[in-house]
Amino acid sequence: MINNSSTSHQFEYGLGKSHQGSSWYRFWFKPTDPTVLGFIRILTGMVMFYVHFAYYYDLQNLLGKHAWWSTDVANLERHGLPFVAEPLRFVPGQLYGYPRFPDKILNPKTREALQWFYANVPSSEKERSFKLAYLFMLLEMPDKELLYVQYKSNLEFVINVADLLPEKEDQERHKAFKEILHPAKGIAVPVHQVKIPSLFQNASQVQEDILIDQVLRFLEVLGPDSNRRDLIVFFLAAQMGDVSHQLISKFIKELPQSYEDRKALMEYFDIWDTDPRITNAIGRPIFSVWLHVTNPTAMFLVHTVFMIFVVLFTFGCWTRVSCFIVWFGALNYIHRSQQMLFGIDTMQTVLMTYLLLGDCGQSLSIDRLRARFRASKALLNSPQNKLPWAEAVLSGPSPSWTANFGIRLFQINFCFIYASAGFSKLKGTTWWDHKAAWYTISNPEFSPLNLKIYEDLLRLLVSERWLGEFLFAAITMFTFSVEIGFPFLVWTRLRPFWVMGSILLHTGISVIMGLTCFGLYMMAMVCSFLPAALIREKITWKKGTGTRLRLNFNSEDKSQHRLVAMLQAFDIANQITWNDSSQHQSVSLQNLNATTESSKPVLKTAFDHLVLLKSVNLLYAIPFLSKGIERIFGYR
Amino acid sequence: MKEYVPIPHSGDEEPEIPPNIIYRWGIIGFGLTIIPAIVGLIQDKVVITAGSKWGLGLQSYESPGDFLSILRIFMVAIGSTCAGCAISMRPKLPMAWLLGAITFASSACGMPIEWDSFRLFFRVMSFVFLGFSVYFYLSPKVRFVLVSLWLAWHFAGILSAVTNPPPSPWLSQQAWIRVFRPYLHFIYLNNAYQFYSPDPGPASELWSCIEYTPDDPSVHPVPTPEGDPGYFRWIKYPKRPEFYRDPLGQTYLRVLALTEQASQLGQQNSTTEWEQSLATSRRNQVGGLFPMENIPRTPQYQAPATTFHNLLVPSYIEHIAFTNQVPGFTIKSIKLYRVKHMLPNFDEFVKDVHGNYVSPYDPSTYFPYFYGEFVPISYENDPNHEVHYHLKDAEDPMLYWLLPIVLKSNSRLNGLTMDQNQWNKNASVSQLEKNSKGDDNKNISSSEARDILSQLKSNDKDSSARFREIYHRYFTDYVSKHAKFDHLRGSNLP
Repeated sequence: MINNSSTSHQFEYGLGKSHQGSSWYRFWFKPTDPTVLGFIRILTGMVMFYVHFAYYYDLQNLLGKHAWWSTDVANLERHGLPFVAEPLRFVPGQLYGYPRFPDKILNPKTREALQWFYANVPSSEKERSFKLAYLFMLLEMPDKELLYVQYKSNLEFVINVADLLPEKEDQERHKAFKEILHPAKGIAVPVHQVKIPSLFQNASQVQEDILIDQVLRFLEVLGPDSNRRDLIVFFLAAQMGDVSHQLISKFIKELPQSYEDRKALMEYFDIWDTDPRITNAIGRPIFSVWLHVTNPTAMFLVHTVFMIFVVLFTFGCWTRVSCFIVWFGALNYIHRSQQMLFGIDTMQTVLMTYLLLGDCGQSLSIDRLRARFRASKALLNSPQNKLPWAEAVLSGPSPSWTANFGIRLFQINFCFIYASAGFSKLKGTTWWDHKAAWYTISNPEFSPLNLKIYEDLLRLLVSERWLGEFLFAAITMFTFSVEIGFPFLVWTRLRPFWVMGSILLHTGISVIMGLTCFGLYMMAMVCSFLPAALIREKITWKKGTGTRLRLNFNSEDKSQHRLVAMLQAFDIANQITWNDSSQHQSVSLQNLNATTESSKPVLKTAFDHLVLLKSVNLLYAIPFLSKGIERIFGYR
Repeated sequence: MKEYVPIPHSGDEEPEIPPNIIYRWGIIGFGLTIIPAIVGLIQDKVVITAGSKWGLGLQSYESPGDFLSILRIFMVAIGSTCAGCAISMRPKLPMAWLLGAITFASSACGMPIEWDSFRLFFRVMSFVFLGFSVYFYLSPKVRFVLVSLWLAWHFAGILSAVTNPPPSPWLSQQAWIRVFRPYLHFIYLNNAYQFYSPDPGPASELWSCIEYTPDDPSVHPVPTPEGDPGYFRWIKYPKRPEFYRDPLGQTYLRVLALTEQASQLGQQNSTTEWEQSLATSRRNQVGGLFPMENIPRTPQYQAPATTFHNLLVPSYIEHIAFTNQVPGFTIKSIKLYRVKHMLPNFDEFVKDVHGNYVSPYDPSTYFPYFYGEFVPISYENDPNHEVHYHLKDAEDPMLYWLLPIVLKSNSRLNGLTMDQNQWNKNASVSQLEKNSKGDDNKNISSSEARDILSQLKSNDKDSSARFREIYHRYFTDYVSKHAKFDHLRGSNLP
């Protein structure tokens, strides 16, 4: 029986009645039976043990130094991944972003050349403006003054002329440039027919000299490699429009002063295809032991320690600590490699986070048994066996606000999951023409299509088109009604139907789509909608069930206390009637249902009849374990 | 006789553990972490390299193997666990949380500098614990308001994550990136839960052809005794039942998730038409060898997102190389193919009037895209002398192009797959027997059927060679042609 009269686990003693009466308070903080949370913990722990046990097969392949997603790349990603948000307000005239880069996959050589150019521009602002004056002039001249065709021809003229210039000193080159512009009479036309662009055609003598110097300085920055020079200039010349020209100009001017920083910037561009200086955040705030521990033996040991904590968590042993460690440990696997994750890891995190917040060890746990043992022992030591707190502990888990809080978190998050899954499917055409169901159950990688019997069954089913279409329509409509209907209707009297629908859906997903552990996690989560009484009475043991027993003991004999307290701790179904008398020299346990008097040892009777111990009575049959059990029970 | 029956209680709580015990554990925890923290402050030196603020530094994050560092890690682990235990004994005690906060703060300094992700974890947790210590000092009304505010924050964050995948509202993007992202990333509650949406699609496999060079050609001559131009091994990830190593297929699904990542495609709109034409013009150079087949169900060119091209594919290649080392041989190159396994259409799956059908594992349902040829390279300045793999030719004409497996004519053999074990031989034989008796419904002439039947029954070759012959009789396999080695053979390594 749950202790409903308790106020001890209410959210706050000092909260005014006006708050406690509010629907917000009642929904989130009204103390409730923690059994549901305990049940979810056990289910989660069991699935989690399996899921993580499977890592033993692939510890190195998934988490090792040379895993699919190697530690080097994982570390690079968690430190460097960019996040860019659009600006919060529009500012007319303000340039946002960075100029276009050549596509790395389609145009890798141009990309490389341009990155080299940006990394090798002059360091100081003054020198940069001086040496790239020709480029800046072209980029910053508005479209109305310089048509795109002219921009292109003026820029491309640089590489055309470069091929004709001798590899000599500046003065010689200047002279050679002039000769190209004004070939002397009687001298043969240059091998490469150079078309003189508009800027040079319209320039005065002085302007022409300035332009020639600017082009020569630009060529100096472009470097001696003619292929690279061509790629850079052709790419820049292909950029159209005022905005892209201004972006290039701004980008070059704002490049870092030091060569190392510019090189690092280009390296960042090379990997992430964005400018780190315009990002809102770089890197992900994550943690994982597997990013640092790469020695196979050490990895095995760390993983084994984690598995031990999963077992402790499942059984509810030191739950507050073990739950935290398991939550933390599970995140370590997840944060190591996003690439190997799928729905199961998402659900696992949801479960663990809310179990941690909900203090899930208050029920169906070893912690609970330990509390019962402490209470029983305190009662035995108290005068007249009266101790209110101990009686409260023994009469059942007290309602707790943290349990309600945890359960509500599950419920609301579950509704988010279903609503998102359901509504997002409405975007897809195959969900509208009902083909989605077919594609899901016939997916060769997920479904059991590798089994001949399944393939034949599917073929038989679809051979009658009307039957197949009817079935796929039914599956699709069922999926929609469960996923979209659940968040709205689960709060009504229809809850049992929607919970059953959800369980059915996930059974289907487990069997047909092979996502068994995912399905089990989802089922664990949907248990948050089950009434605690259902779990307490139908899944665990109802009070008053099982064989009636009588325990004869003497509370004045201190040596009997441990055994009596242990038996009382394990008597979760209130099977034992307590018979305390100073005449009892030793502890004995009688089966009141037995027709004949039995002289079985106490622990044997307890393991045969107490519902909780009965489920593990095989352990007591193992000789070396039985000795340990007897010691724990204080049985001599 | 005195009956001992639990009686209704008044609702009192179990006496709490005295604070001095809690403080003792907390102080032990702090004591254990402060020592490594002091050592850390003296020992650790932060080396800032150019670009390290963008995560490009070359520093190692591997655990240092020296005794002092290992001792520091153990002391921090035990110390923080002690502090956690102290809190768990009496979670409503503000001082316990405060001790926990101090312990976790010193743990952050106590971890070796290479364990930067743990330093981050301890720093965050120390702030969380500090928050709880303040929380338990506050009045109930304030606490009620604070928990309510956290609830609103938490589910607003979940909402931003759920609505973030495109097409997404501007507000949702902003809220996610600017406000909730660090919180949701830290606890991994960042999923949008949009499973199988908008549409369920085909799964992706990864096939790799590894070519080896023998270390001693006198022992392993090239060409090989079978006449191959070199030694090779084909690996297909994930393949059932090899990768299905646990009863519920968890191991298989992990690898499937990994291979699925390679199917994240780049955005076409980020490239210009001219750039897209580059891929086509390069492809046309080898049009003679690999003619463009008419494939209606899938685009012929599919490039991955740039970051996947930069990080994921090279990482996968290095893993494949690392797990496929063969004694006496050196890896010469690795060719990688992302293989989209198309789902059978409803009508294709049905048997026709003659009882013919297409297997869901029919070779023509596999669409391999070439993801590049990678060759080993080692850097002179690498102290570990590790071999890395680089894309051999970034302008490879076939890079990210489809290399289909196409049916040679309209004829198709029932139950024929690429896997001999999976091949439904009985279905094939029964069809052939029908055809050999004059039922030419699938363009297999009776003479051709008799020919294949006799081939199947002959004993002059081993069964796998016979199977391959039948396969190649029906299918033009461009992927094998491109790799130079038949993927059906698996390997020719001795």
